[in-house]
Amino acid sequence: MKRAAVIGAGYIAREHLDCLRSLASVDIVGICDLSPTLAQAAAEEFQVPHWYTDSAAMLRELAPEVVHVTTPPGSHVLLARQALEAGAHVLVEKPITFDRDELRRLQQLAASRGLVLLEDHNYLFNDSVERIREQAKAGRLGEVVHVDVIFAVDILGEGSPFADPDAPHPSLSLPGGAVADFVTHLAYLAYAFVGPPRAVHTVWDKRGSGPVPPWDEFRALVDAERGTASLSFSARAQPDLFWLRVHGTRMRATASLFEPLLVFERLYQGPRPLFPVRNGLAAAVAYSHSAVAGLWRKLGGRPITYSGLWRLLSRFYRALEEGAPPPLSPDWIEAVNRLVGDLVAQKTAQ
Amino acid sequence: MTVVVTGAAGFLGRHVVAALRHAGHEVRAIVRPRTEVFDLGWDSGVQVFRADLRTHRDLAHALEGAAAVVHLAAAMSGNDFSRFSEIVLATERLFDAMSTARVKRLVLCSSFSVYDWLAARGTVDETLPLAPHVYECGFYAAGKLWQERLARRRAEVEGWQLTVLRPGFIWGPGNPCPPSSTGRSLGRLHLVFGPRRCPPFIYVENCAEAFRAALENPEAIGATVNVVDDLPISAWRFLGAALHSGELRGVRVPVPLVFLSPLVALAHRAGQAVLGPRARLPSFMVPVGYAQGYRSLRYDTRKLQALLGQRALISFEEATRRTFAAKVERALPAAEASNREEAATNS
Repeated sequence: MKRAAVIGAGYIAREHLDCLRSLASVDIVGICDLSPTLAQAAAEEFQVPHWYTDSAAMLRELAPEVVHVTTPPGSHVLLARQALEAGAHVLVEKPITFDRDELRRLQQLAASRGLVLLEDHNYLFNDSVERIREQAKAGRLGEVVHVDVIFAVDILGEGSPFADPDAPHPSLSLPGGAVADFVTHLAYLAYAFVGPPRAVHTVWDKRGSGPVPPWDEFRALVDAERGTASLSFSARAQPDLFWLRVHGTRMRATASLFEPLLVFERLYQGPRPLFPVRNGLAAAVAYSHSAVAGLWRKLGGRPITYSGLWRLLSRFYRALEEGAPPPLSPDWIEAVNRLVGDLVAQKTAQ
Repeated sequence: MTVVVTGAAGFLGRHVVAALRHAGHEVRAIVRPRTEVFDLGWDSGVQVFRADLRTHRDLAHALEGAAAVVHLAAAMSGNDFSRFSEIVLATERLFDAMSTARVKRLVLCSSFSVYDWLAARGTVDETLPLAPHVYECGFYAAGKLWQERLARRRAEVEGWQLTVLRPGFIWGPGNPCPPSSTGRSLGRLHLVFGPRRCPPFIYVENCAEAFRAALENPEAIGATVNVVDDLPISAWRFLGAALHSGELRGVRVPVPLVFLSPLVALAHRAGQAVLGPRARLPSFMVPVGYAQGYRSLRYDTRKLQALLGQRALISFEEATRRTFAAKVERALPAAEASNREEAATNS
């Protein structure tokens, strides 16, 4: 049984808490937030025995073995260091930092104390992404040629915290603004299939008329060691979408990460003109299944978008219990951080 | 006296400001930084203070010298949790500023949603228990419950004079038919759940009058008062008025509670059995949500009557006339502007 604590009681913390209370090997001992009401409300809702507004006091008094940092990005490094120094394994929401040196120092601190420092790359653990990675690993995709990652989400609409000029969203202070809040997802999905970048080209643009965020459109073309990747974020294209498409020499896989959609387009035996027919029928079945299964999961209160987070946390705690390697290695986290840094650095140069 | 009103440019806020000015009070109206106030018709007795309660660095400055605060501000958009966090963060910061500025009088706008509607029977008054499972009632209700908790704690610790008002469905110009108050709409088909049921409606000017009275009446200190119009209006009649005016289009379809209640209970049980304990059905198909919205109840308005004294409230007929006349008046300037543009083009 691991004693866990959560720092930050906002929206994403609720997903962590919801998952943690479903894990038999976890005892949630404390929750902390600068707002006493948010901390107390989260403690009440998730039956956490202690709540704090001072993270240092919580770490000192409760001595948790694992700490989840779910605060806005600007505080991630400080709180992760504080938790590591208190002797806790740490899982930090993305991005830990855009500064490679800061990340390296944190990783060195974790390694020197025999602790795990993990960044939340949750979509990597969604069913559909795991299945595509299995197909790639087994060689059924053939050689991976290219990856498309497309994220479109309406962050400019009424009520969106990203578009509220009176209470600027914390991500707006990041290099890259609101887009930077999503770019880590694009980066680790690309990295998973095409590896480290050799060159990166980006377009950062603002097409919407509102005062915030500073950029609402982002495109990148990545020339990587094992193939190429195109990454796209749009705050204006609708409806909302998060697609991963992996193009192999023998198969193409398409997954929607907001729904349980997974489509494989294959090369078949037989006449070539029939390939589109068979692939079209397979896609129709996959879309129909996704529509029904997605609705069923929503009605059942089971996670869809954050299903990867639940799996990541489950594996993280199992690894801690068994003394096994964590679900993401320090090298992986550093490599993704480097790619994210390259993408964001181009914005700075522009 | 000088009264600070938060959410002053909102649907209820602008009427509270008007009621306070009518009674001769100086008003300091806190509005969001980008809010347009020109068309609100405020006179020189209204001082506008532009601040977002969640982020403004010096809220205490807005409260300096004020005798009382009427706290109406609440997030009305965004996802459920963001509404909750906005409500409680704004309230925490406002209350800190009240402490700093030594303002001791608070009239808090809570909501009917804080009650345990599963426990409601017959005639409901302020003694109805609060919802025991706060977060099952939705985050708006949870935010309002936490507002009350925070206010009561501060009142106890710092000796504030607190009045909590809990309005029902507030309606009027700009919000002629509160969403979900009468049932559900499928396009132009308006299902009226329990057509003879009288929802807890309160016309917005009557509601504003309750806030003015709460502020002025010393007997309101320490009190919690439900704010509902004293003449019950059935859901069928209310929706009919909106349709008759042209504000809404379509037809009414009665869905008697005698059919709906067992259907909802059955759907809920089936949902739990098939989908499991975490099943998330539409709110009206969950017992708490159904009870909150569609129980057939009566509402005891004696505390509100005592608060208001002899002052007569606006009748349903007059409120209907004002609400739908306002729609016509709002449409006029646009039509006139259009005519002017047309004339300019033709010349």
